[in-house]
Amino acid sequence: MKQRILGIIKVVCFLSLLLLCLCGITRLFQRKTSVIKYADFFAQKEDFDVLFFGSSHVVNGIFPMELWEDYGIVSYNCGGHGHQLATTYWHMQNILEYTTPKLIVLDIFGMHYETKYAAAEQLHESFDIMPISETKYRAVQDLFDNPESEDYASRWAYFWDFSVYHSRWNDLKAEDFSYKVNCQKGAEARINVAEPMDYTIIGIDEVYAEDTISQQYLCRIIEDCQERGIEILLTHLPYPAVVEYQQAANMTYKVAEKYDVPYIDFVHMNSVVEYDTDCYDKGSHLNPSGARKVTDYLGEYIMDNYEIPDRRKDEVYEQWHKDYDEYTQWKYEKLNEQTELDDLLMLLRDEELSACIYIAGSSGYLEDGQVHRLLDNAVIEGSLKKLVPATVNKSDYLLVIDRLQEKIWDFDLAQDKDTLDSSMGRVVIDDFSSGDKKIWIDKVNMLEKESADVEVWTKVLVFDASTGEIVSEFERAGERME
Amino acid sequence: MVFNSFDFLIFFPIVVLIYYLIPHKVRYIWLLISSYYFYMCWNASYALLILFSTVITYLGGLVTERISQKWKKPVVFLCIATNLGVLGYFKYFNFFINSLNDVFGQWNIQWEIAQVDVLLPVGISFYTFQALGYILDVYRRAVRAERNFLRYALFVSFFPQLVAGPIERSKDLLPQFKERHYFSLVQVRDGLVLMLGGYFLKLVIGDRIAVVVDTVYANPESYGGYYIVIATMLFAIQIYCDFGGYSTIAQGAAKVMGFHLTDNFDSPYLARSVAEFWRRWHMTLSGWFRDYVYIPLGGNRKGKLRKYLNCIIVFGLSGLWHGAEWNFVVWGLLNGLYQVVGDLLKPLRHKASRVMRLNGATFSHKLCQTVATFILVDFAWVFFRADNMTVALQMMDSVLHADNLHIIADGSLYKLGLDWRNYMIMLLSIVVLLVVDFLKKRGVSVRSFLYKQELWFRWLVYIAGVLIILIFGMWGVGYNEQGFIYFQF
Repeated sequence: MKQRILGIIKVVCFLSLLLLCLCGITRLFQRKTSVIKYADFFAQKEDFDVLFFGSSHVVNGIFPMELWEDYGIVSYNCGGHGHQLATTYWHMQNILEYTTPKLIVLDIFGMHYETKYAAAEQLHESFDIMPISETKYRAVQDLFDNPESEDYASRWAYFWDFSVYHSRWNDLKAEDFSYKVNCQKGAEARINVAEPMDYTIIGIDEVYAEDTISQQYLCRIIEDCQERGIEILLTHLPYPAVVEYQQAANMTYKVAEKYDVPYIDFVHMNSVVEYDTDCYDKGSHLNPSGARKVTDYLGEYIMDNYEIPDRRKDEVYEQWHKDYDEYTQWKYEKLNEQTELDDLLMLLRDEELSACIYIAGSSGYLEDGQVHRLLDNAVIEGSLKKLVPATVNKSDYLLVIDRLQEKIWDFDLAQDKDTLDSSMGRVVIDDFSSGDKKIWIDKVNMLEKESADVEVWTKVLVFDASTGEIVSEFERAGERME
Repeated sequence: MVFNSFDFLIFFPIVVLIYYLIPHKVRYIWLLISSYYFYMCWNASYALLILFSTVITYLGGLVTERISQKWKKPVVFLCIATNLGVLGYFKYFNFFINSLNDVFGQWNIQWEIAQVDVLLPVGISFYTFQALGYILDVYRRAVRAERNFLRYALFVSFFPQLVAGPIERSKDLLPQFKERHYFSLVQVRDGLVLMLGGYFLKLVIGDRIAVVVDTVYANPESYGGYYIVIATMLFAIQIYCDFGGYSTIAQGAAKVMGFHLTDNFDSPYLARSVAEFWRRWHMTLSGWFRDYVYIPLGGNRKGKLRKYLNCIIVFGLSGLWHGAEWNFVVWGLLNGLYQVVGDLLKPLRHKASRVMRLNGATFSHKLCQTVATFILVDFAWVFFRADNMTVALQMMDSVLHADNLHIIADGSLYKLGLDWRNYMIMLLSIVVLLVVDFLKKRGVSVRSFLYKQELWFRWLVYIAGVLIILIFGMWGVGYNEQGFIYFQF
């Protein structure tokens, strides 16, 4: 008997040790995208007020941290790359096991899809972090319901992702041992300015089909939300949509009417973003400039139409202020990483940032129409009076954006010299006609250069709008061109 | 269901748990149900073929035992013919038709016979041979006919060895189903360690090598010369790890439940002659052919010429057993031929040894013999692995005209599906395999050594073994778990 008990104890100890090791290697080998995206979601004890669901359009197009700062909305971006509406339905089911929001904002991109998921690998981003549950089991059963499919055998991988990731032994990096979690509350800013695709807006009567699998899942999502007492807002986030995608999205009007839910068709509205400056890629995703416009629009709409509380003064959400500070630091890091003027100017469309932007006439930047559009885009409100004259005269140009005072100043430096008091400090522009180019900001020459043979082609100083501290410097310089 | 599937990892513990929980007298029925379920997971309807073979040989056994001597032979013949008929239809019918069509084509006869559209039943050659072995043993009175049909049905379908052997003898396995097997932690541990070893061979070595071998053999026009040499050398190890791995897992799974299955491999690549290789490779099949074909044909009792003929016949049949293609037959014949020629040249070799004053007891001499045996065996593997005879001959031609030795140094090998890190894992694992095989040949059991160590060390080895297989094994998404080479035989 004693031997038997000892045997059982040994087996239990051994299995526990083995299990511990398995958990350890599973965690180490896991691709971290899912953990990184949802770490903040699971860290929060209180319910979220608003959740955003949809495809990568949502991931890149809605910034919950901006909603917090501007409206006090406690939200999370649960969009997923490649999510089709069936995937979204099940992802939402998983998410709702852990929080009950007041409002769900659902982007309906992909109404024409007759499949349930785009790529099995993409599901891991949303599914890996979700604990094993009956809902997760049902989700996997439903999404992989075709035994003939190549992915059918991969069902197990959603319950033990080590079965996919064990081959990463060959690919482990420092980030696998120590990683930073997403500080954008699930969103992912993608920094680039792309030339948009040509597109034509069609009428809302043109629909792709009467019914699709995706539409069926949209109906299931709405019905489920209504059963749970969660309000739902449908959106079609903006992108230069080809006719087929517009036709697919137009199917939503009928569904929205049937269930009496609001639907914002940004594509058809065609006024919230400017595709010339706001696209990350050719035909789909928004860059941070576009995302901020959409986020702001949605924030205003949500506050006007739903009873979503402003939590900024609620002590329970004190952590969100710290999270926002972290988010701000992350934004500064991104500013400092930029190597292209276009991308930097795009990022300056941010009400939390002031800037001094100098562009030499000889640099050629001013002859680029895209730079004009991005400068216009960056000021948010107001117009640039000296940009065109400076371009025509090929003279140097200075733009000062002061968000705190809500003012902008711009100068054709061949003609203008001035002194102005901005919240970043006193700006003194020397006489450029002497050839000695100096712009003093708080008694520091922003055009200071290492040698007389070098000419600054462009220099951008970015300031924290509220404190006036420099958070980023961007410079392009080269040999002086006589 | 295959051993390296999630399904089996769920199936096996459940079977074992229930096996030890239920009364002894019904355990064999539980194992029979489990075995049929195991097979039916692959194809439910083909379980009828096992049942058919079981019924025929079961009844054949009973009848053979009871009837007079003069009727025994016809009954046994009928049993064998029926079983081989089923095997022939499902495995060899299309081969026969194709060969016939080829002959017609050669003679410009415009008559093409249509093939039949049948799926080759997994493991049919294994369970058919096991059942035939039983009926022949009953005929020879080596065993008594089994009265209990369900117990006999379990002998034919016992799931650990159902689809890829080892091909067990009735005198060894049948009595075990009557024995009482009590739960023993030591025995379960030994079984699980065996299974771990099998999984290591299959998943870490065999399937890793398969990436390179499959790439080269799928496209021999692009990968000629030394690519073929390297791939074929690796294939020798792949097929050993694949088949040896399966057999070891089978032995381990059976051992967990208290059953002993026969060793199928005994350090085959350390053999110093082709004859010795065949005494160490797929030993249960070699033994089957020896006892039921070679010896009845006269073996070596009827003169040298007859002995050589018998040897060629047995190896030709062995080739055909492995696959219904001429390249398999050539592979078998080649192995037979090696032994005939080896025997013929024996006096010459001895004389040469004496003249050159070679000392057969030295390590260097033995190493030369081992290497030479490996080269001969490996050369034959080309015919085994190639898609057909034409491809095999083209590959031989490509090797003869090889001029791309640079591939071993210029990184070309890393473009065959494995990067350098994977090659390192592969080579390291092969070294481990060689050391274990060498020790085994010297009579040293690694498992016995391990069991004598302190608890912490044993646990460390067990856990490290599991983790190594899980991390470095080729499994999971994107991995084809139907990959045991010997399932097709």
